[in-house]
Amino acid sequence: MDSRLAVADLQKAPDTLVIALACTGDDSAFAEVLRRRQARVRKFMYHLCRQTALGDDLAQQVFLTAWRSLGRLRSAAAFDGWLKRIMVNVWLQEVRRGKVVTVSDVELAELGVQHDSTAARMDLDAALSTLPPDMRLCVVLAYNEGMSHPEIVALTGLPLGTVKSHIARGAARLREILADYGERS
Amino acid sequence: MSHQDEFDVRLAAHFEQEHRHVAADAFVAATMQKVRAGRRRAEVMRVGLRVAALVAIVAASPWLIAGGARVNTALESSLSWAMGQPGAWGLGALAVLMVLAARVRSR
Repeated sequence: MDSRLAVADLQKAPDTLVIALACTGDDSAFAEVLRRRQARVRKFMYHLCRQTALGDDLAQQVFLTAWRSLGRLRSAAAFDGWLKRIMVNVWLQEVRRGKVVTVSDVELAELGVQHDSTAARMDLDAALSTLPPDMRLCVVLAYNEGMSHPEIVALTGLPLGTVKSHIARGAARLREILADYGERS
Repeated sequence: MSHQDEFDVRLAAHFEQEHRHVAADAFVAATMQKVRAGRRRAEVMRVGLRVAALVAIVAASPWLIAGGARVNTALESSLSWAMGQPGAWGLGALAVLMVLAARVRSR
C-alpha cells in the first residue's frame, strides 16, 4: 500500500501517527516504525542469545509477527507494551525449541581467556550466557528494559517469587563471574 | 558505594550500550523484503482459496441440487402435516408446554 505521507514527513512524524498509519497497512510507515524500534529489539535479543546472527533472526521474527497482527493492536499508545510481549513470546518459543545454548563454567573460562583483553561488555555477555534461559530473560527484562517485578510477572506469566529469585540469583551469579574476570585480567 | 551498587552501575552501563553489529539500513531492508514477500504470499493464498471454493461449488453442484430438492420435498410433507388437524393440536400443545416451562424457569 502506498504511503499517505512522504518518507521525509514520516521521519519527522510522531510515533503515534506513524504507528496508526502502519496499522492501516501502510508499508512505508511500518518501515519507519521498524527503523525506530530495531536497535532496541535487536539489543534485547542479542543479550538473550549472545549470537549476532540468531539475535537478528529473532528480531526479524518479532517484526514479522508484529506486522501480521498489527490489525489487532487496540491503540497506537499500546504499541511498545504489545511489541515487548511479542519479543518475550518469540524468545520463549526459541527456548521451547531447545535451541538456546547455556554456557558451562568450563566453556566460560575458555571464553575468558579468549576475550581477556576485550571490553567489559564481552565479559558480561559471556556471563549472561551461563544463566538458564528463564533467569536470563528476567535479568534482561529488569536491566535492559528497566521493568519492575510485577511488570515482568505480567509479561512472562512466571510467579512473583520466581521472578524475584531469578533476578536476585542471576545478578549474584553475574557478580561472581565478573569478580572472577576482574581477578584474572 | 557498596560492591553491589558498583556492579549494578556496570551492568546498567552494559545494557545501555548501542548494538552495532549490523547496520540498521540492511536490517530494515531485509525485514521489509520479508514483509512484502509475506504480503504477496497471503494475496496468492487468498486468490487460491477463492478459486478452490468456486471449483468445489461447481463440482458439487449436482449433489447440491439433488439435496435441495430432497429438503424441499421433506419440508412440503412436514408443513402439510402441521397444517392438518392433528398437527395443529400437536403444535398448540407444544406451545403451551413451552410457555409453562418458561414461567417455571422465571420463578
